[in-house]
Parts: sequence; structure tokens; C-alpha cells
Amino acid sequence: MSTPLAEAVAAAVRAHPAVADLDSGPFGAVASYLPGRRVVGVRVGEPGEPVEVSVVARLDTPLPQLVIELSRVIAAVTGSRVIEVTINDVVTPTPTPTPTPTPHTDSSLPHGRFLR
Amino acid sequence: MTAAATDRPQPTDGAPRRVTARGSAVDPDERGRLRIDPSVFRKIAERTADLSPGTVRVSRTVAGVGIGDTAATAKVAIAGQQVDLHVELALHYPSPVRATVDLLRRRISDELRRSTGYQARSITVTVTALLPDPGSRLRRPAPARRRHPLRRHPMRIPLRALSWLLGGAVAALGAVIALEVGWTWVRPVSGPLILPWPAWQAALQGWTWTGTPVRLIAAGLTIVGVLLLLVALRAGRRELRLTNPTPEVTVTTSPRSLARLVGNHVRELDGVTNASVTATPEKITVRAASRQPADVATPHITDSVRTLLAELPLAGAPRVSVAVRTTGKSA
Repeated sequence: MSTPLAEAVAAAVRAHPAVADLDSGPFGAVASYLPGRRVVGVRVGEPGEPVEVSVVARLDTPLPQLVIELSRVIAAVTGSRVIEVTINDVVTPTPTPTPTPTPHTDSSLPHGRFLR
Repeated sequence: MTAAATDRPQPTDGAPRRVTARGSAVDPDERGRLRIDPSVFRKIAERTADLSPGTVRVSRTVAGVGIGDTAATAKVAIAGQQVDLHVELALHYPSPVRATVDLLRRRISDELRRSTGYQARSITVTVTALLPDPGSRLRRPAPARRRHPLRRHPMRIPLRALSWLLGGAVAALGAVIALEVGWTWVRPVSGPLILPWPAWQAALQGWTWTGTPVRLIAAGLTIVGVLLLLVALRAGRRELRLTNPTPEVTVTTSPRSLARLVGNHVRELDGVTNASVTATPEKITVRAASRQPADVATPHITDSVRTLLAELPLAGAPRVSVAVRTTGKSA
């Protein structure tokens, strides 16, 4: 019963635009073991236990908001089970944020002598 | 969202489950529980700091070899729903350090609250360097004279040579010991290869705890140990305190970045052909080479450095000592 559930949860979580990836956490603890394969980042235990997902999020969505949305998505798959979301890592929306040099030197001419 | 129809719990389950397996009450509308890895807070703080105006990337070197740029680094401690942060970063200079750090702190606090819902309880900031604006380099003509990187920091040459010598000595000792051990394994009867260690062994066997050489060596080791302890106690990060914008913000900078700042300033002065600066929290020592005579250049440089220091938000003003060497070339 729980075998297809883990994959269904993984697919539903991955479909969220603010989820960059699923991740099994620091010790690889959050994963489901299926015959011959392993679903990383989703752990579906016994019916009484919470559903755990561990994700790499994109930073453009606030994380509490993301958790609420993910809970709804997961609840649609699993029914009424308690859901635990771990934000294991984040990726920035822009790949390399380069700080723009501030043009303050022009407005402070006496200081310009310190520059080289 | 796509799952809007499932806002309510599924009716098949009967009453919504209010208590989780771990016993905490759960709102049925927001059953998701959130756990955020500490590295997430760190990344958010570092990224916000990098994007904040006035911060700058620093090129790092190990033994004179560049290992790329580093941006701001953050350390995080989490207590409940609150976060304690320590951010280390380099700032442009000239820039209003106080306002820049204040803005940075506000931005990090806002960004943490926005993206994680956590409160930043304290944010301490260490300004590890005050660097000239890299963009200004393009606007100024390149200096005609090329300075060898080592020549600008004359103190580093003996240190570097010493580290090479010590490393080489330890490596050579290790190689010799490995050779002797291997040689004794291969040909146990034919005696030592390089070191006369059987003779040393015989001599050592003759010593007792009360012998004079043992006592002398013990005394010498004790003295060396105490000296090393004193040096170690004196070492560490000797930070320069800057005046704190608010009680939650600690602004410090390293003596080295102050020395760099003063050095850049002195080299821009008229007549100065070269300068090296060492700085401690108490004293700044400038050694400059100038085309002007020493009695003219010394007060000029001293006043100029004092003016520069007065503009910095230093908590205590260090003393300034200037030594000028007149170069042969006239202006």
C-alpha cells in the first residue's frame, strides 16, 4: 500500500515550482525503500506515522508558505496524515548574484584620494 | 493551488487527527510541520549580505597563492523560533560603515523573517576588511611602477623562509628515519646507514633520571614550553574595535585591513614612491620612501594618516609613527 504512495508523494512535491529537488537529508535518513529502488526525500511510515519529506527549496517563496502549500499537495495524495517538511537546503533564484558596485565614490570626492 | 479541494481532511478518516505521533497538537488546516536546516539560515544571511550595498568580495591567499574570492560568511545558532547570527564580511571604503552595517542588519533580519518566519534575535557583524572600491581602479591610470607583491610586505619574506626551512627540516628528518628503519629491516647486521643511532642508544642507556644532561634538557624544555605558552597567549585575533552603531551590532576590523587602508592612502600622497605599514590596535607604523626630504615628508605623512584615522569610526585612536627614507630620484 505504501509502496506507490512514496513515489506519488515525490512526484507531487517535485511538481511544486518552489521545490528544486528532493533530498534525503544529512544522513540519508529521509528515504523510502521500494523493491529495487529508493525514493529519496520521502518517508511514508505506517498509517499512524507522519509523512516526512525533505526538500531543496528555491528561495523566492517564503518557506512557511511553501510548507502550507506542500502540505495541501501531499494531503491530496496521502489523505489525512500528519506531514513533516524539512527544508534541507536552498538554492538561490539567480545562479550567481553579483553585488553591484555602489557608485558612491563620485559623491565623496575627498575620499577619492584613498582609492587606487 | 491544485489541491485546493483537499483543504479539509478527507471524510474517510472520520474526525481530523489532532494529535501527532509525537503528541503535539496540530491545526488541521496547516498540518505541515516545518523543520529548517541551519545551513538554510546561513545561506540566506550570506546571500543577503552579498547583495547588500557596500559589501565586497575579498580575494583570499594562502602562502601568497590566490585561492579565489570569498564573500560574506555567516555562523548560525538557533534557539526555538529565534536565530543568533554572526556575519563576517568586507566593506567598501570609503563608505559609511555604520549606515552600511545597520542597513545590512535590517536586510538580513527582514529576509529571515520573510523567507523562514524566524526572528533574528541578535546579529553581530565583523568587518574583516575595509577595501577600496574595485571599480575605482578602472577610472584611475595604472601605476607606472610595478611593485612586486613580496616587496610590499617585507615582513613576510623571513616568515615565509622560516616556514619553508622548518617544513624542510621536519621532512628531511622523517625521510632519514624512514631510511634507517628500512635499512635495519633489510640488513639487520650491517649497522646504521647515515645516523650513528646505535651509539646514541648506548649513550642514552647510561643516563638516569638524576643525571645532569636529563635535568638540563628538562629545564630547557620547561623554558621553551613557558615561552611558547606566552606567545600563544599573546597571539590570536587582535581585533580593532570600531564604534558600535547599536548595541546589537559589533563592528570590528583586523589590524591588517587597517594597515592596508593606511598603506593605500600613503602611497597616493605626493612624493611617496613606496610605503609599508604595520598596524596593531595601539600603534600604526609607516615606513615610506619619498622623493621629498624626510623633515618635509614626515609631518606631511603623519598629519595625513591622522586625518584618515579620525574619519574612521575607531573606538580608540592608535598612535602613528612614520619613518621616511628619501629616494635619490627628484620629482
